[in-house]
Amino acid sequence: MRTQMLIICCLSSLLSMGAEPLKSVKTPPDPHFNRLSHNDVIVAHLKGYAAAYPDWVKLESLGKTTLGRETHLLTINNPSTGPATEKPGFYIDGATHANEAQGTETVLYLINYLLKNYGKLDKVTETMDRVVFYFVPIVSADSRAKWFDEPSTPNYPRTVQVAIDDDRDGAKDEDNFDDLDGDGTITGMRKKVRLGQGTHRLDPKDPRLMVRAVGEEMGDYVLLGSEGIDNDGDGRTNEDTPGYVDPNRTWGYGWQPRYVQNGTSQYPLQIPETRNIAVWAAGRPNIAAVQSFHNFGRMILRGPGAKSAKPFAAQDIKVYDFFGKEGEKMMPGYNYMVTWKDLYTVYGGTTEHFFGIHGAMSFTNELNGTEQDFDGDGDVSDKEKMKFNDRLTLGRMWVDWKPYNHPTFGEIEIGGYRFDTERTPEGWRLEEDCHRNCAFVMMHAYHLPYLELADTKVEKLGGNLFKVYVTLSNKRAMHSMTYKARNDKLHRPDIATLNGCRVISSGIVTNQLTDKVKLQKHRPERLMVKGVDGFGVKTLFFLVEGKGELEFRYDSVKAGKLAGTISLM
Amino acid sequence: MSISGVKKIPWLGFLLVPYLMAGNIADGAADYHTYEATVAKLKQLSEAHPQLAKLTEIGKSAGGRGIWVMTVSGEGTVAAKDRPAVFVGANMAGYHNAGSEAALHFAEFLLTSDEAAAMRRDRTVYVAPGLNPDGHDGFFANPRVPLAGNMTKIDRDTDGFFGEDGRDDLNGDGLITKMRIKDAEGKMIADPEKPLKMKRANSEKGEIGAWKVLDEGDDNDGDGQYNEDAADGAHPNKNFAHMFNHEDKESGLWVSYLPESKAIMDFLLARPQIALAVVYGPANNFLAAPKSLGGVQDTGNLKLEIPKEIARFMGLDPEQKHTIDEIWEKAKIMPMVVQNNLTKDDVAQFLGVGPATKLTDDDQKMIQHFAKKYKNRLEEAGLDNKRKCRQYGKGGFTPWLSYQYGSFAVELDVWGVPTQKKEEKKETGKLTMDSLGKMSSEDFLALGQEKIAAFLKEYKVPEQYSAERVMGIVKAGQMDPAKIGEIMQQMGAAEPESEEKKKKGPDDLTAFVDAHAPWAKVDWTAVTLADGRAAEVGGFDSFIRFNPPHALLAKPMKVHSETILELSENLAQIDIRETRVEDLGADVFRVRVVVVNKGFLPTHTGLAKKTKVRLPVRLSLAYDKGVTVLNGERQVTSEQLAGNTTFSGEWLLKAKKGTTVTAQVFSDQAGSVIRQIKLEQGVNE
Repeated sequence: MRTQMLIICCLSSLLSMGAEPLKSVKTPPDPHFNRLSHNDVIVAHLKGYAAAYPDWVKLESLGKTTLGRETHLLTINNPSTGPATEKPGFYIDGATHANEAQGTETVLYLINYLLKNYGKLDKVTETMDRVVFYFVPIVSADSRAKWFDEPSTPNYPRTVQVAIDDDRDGAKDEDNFDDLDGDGTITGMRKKVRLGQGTHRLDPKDPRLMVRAVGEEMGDYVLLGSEGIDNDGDGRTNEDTPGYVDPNRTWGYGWQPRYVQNGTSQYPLQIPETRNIAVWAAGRPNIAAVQSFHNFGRMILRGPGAKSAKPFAAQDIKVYDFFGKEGEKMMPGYNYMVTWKDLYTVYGGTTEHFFGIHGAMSFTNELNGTEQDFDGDGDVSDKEKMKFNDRLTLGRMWVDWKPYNHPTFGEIEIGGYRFDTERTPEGWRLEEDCHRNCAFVMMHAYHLPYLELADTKVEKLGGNLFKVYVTLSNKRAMHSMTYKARNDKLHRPDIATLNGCRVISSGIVTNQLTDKVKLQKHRPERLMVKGVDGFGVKTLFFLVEGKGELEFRYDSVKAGKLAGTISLM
Repeated sequence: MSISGVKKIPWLGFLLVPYLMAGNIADGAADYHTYEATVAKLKQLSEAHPQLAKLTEIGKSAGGRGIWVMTVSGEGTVAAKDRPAVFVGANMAGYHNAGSEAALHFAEFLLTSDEAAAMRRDRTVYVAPGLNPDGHDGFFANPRVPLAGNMTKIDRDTDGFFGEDGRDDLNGDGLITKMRIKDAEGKMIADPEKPLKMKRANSEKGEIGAWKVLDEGDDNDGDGQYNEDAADGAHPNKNFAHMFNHEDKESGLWVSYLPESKAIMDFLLARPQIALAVVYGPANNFLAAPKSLGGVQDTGNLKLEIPKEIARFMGLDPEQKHTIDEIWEKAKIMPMVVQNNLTKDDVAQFLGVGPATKLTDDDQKMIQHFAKKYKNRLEEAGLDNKRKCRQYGKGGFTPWLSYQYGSFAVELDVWGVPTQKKEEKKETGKLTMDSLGKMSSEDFLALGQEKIAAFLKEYKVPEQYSAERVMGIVKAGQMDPAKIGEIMQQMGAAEPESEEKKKKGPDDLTAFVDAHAPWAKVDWTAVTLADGRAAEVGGFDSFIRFNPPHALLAKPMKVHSETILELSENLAQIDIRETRVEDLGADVFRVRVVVVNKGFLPTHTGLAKKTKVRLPVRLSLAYDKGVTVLNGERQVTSEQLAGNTTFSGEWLLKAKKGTTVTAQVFSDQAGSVIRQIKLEQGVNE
């Protein structure tokens, strides 16, 4: 006695297919993506979007940074398809490492792209209808501003602005780099010495470059590190620069102290830059996906960050691999890698925090730098880098060696690559990298769990007693609950309820063909479902007493809510 | 079934309690300080001694209660902020009220006693008697529920409800004891010898289990489990960084997630002068030396995998695992390593070697040294020093202080259920775990195979370790008897119960309760659970294991305050032992400064030295423009200076004869000294 039932109402039908493009109440920002922008410009754009699309875009501060800047969070949510917290959430951030400045542009690109393409591109429309996006474009705001405002290097400041006594002499941050030649960027120092005393010599073909003296050669140059003097008179230069707490070693999962993980804080999330985000995110259990933008080297990284961390479940790796391998195709030159195995050990990274504590699938992308492999040997040599500087940037990247009289080293030369090179791309290469990476995020967002009521089946057992089978399908790649969350009990399972009747028993169908059901012994009216796998289905079983119409509700932490009506006949 | 309305309220019992039981149970907590009274006492003490004490609120608990620290420093020759400092904290585990009492006792002792005059003069002391204010008052509540957590709610059973199924006082006696439920599938049976104890049924002896034994309480949320989601939140004493356990929901989401743990860490980290931390908590590190909490092994034999690219770069086989020494042999000549002055530790870190897993031998030795004195002091006071004690746990406050904060730290439980005095009938020549540890290899072998076999059997050592084999190992010199004992203990060999103990007399807890707190023992009484099942409630008050009737705390509190005093007296103290000037002529002088640690304890613990979490002792010379340094470092440092040892720095200076330079020694936690040196031939002590 099987009857096909009619689904009268389903929340997913609220998706506004054929929607109109967003109407702005003010002219929205029209940012450029062919050069890097200072924080002030970025924040002005964020305010512009919030003003232009007040119903969709919310801009708030998660708190102050170490030096008192705001940590801006921009949320994009379609208000007509439900409140943000009831949708799968996607958290995206940039410039956790302030010197990796283009992470911010990449985040801004996605904000701009989403808002401008809603109602125009079906995939964008569908995703924005069912997903809430949370953006923190600048995590390390103090240092990113410093990177623009003060003499910097491609690698500095990676830290947040918490004073640390790097050289352990009792004074903090007392020996910074110095822009000795006053050109606004920190480059390098070299000194010509007596033949045999040096480690390097000039490249015979290009005296701008240094080559190591090897074999039978004798060196007549020494490299003296980055531009600076011995400010504290301890015989070393630049050994205690401002900061050094690396925010991407301060997150909460698998954190290790400083003697194990260099550059971390004294305890996890001690610094406001990451703590404010972590505290906020702990109140957003709907965040199911995370993307963090760093540079450089073209990588798609996933955890674990350390070998000692618990290995991921095979079912989760399958989903990671799906994104990672597609990502490699979408972003030529990018490699999909496991952090600890293919790169190096990271304790307290962003991806580990969100996956390990909240069960959200998390990637860190290392964006493209400047390099070009002219000869295609898989490696960018110093010569190739210089060739790129000469031929394609017409010398913009390189500051030529100039003599300088150094208080400690005497006559030296100062020169090298500018701060906004190597790790950050030239403007004309930035936009494409932004786009490809945002397309990768959109693929991930598109594949956030998407549950539908596929089928319901009612079987009358006599009187008012019925067997009810409800089949859910997940149309997309991500599980509605990661196996990490299942195995480590990170959050509650999905919950299915049937209202308007007495539920005598309930369970999960484990074999459709033989009608085998694993019953939930207690609280049958509140069936706990450990998620619906990506591209999978799950059938729920209820033994009920009642009549007429029943309301079925399904409430998933990460996949949103679903409701439908079932008639007992 | 909804969550509210399920909870069964034992109305009758509730009404009867004040009349029938109140006197006795109140005796249990009488003279103990509620949290409010604890803070009031701190205020009263600091107001009575305004010259010595200052009270600071360092944060708020999850429930909004203030967390207070009293700072004590009297007049002395050294400014308070430059003195080696001592921290005394208590009650991070909220149910350990004896700790709060002992901390208050110490505060008063410190402020008022003559014995503590030197400590007031030479130290800055921080006393925090209530580190988990929300958990503190479970002792005074009705029913009396032990709280380790704060006032948040967590979802231990991940069912979407928070703190919905805690323990309940089913028999209305104001206590949470045990509960047994008749259950055909139960594993436990009643122990005929000990009416309040239940034991596991032994099927081999023809016993079939008949009871389930649980803590007293209903299945409030109807999920078939009892008391699986207590009403208190995550535990501050699990929320610290050493061996933090992500898989325990009571740990909190991350280290420092809870306001209580964050507040005290921020307070302590801002005060690196603290050289000694004494924690009053459920563990006793002097009666039972602290054990490793596990973790990734230390370096050494640990084989590491190397990322492919790096392995190729170093010329190592990426398919093989390598020890850190093998890797370092290759790495130390690599340009990247040489140019950046990387050490073996840096390289190990790069490859993901984990944190320290045990105290260093030096640290253990120091703990043993003071443990011995502590035990003597207990004995002199007529207190038991042989009782069983707990160890601190993963993510605990004390292990954080030891492993990551870098102070000398011990946890002490102040009081525990004493062992009963028994007449020891020593079988002469009988081998025990104790005697094994003190025995030489020769004496051990002389016992003969039979005695050794009996010993191994008694301690349930697996059969493959026959007496013959063990004797062979000792004979070959591979292990001494003490090492064998150690391994047996690691394998879980327990002291076999003496025949006497097995047969006669109550256990220690019963004996203690019968003698001192009869109200804390509840005979089995029948109750009906909310789910309709019949059950019996009985057993012991959960607090009595840590918190005796207050009068019994008087002696232990005094012993513990004196113990802190003694530890404080033994702290490292930096001084300049000698300055020596050699006049080399031509306005050139050789200056030598010898620094000494006059204290017994080292300036840094072994772990602080290893982790470099504290700054080294730093010796430098300050001088005016007329002085030129011809040779010498700006700073000479010592990462750790053991008690009663020295280190020195030497400089070659050019200056006019009679010029004064200044030697300065700085350390965060062992004091600092500044001394003028006149440049003329001579030695100054």
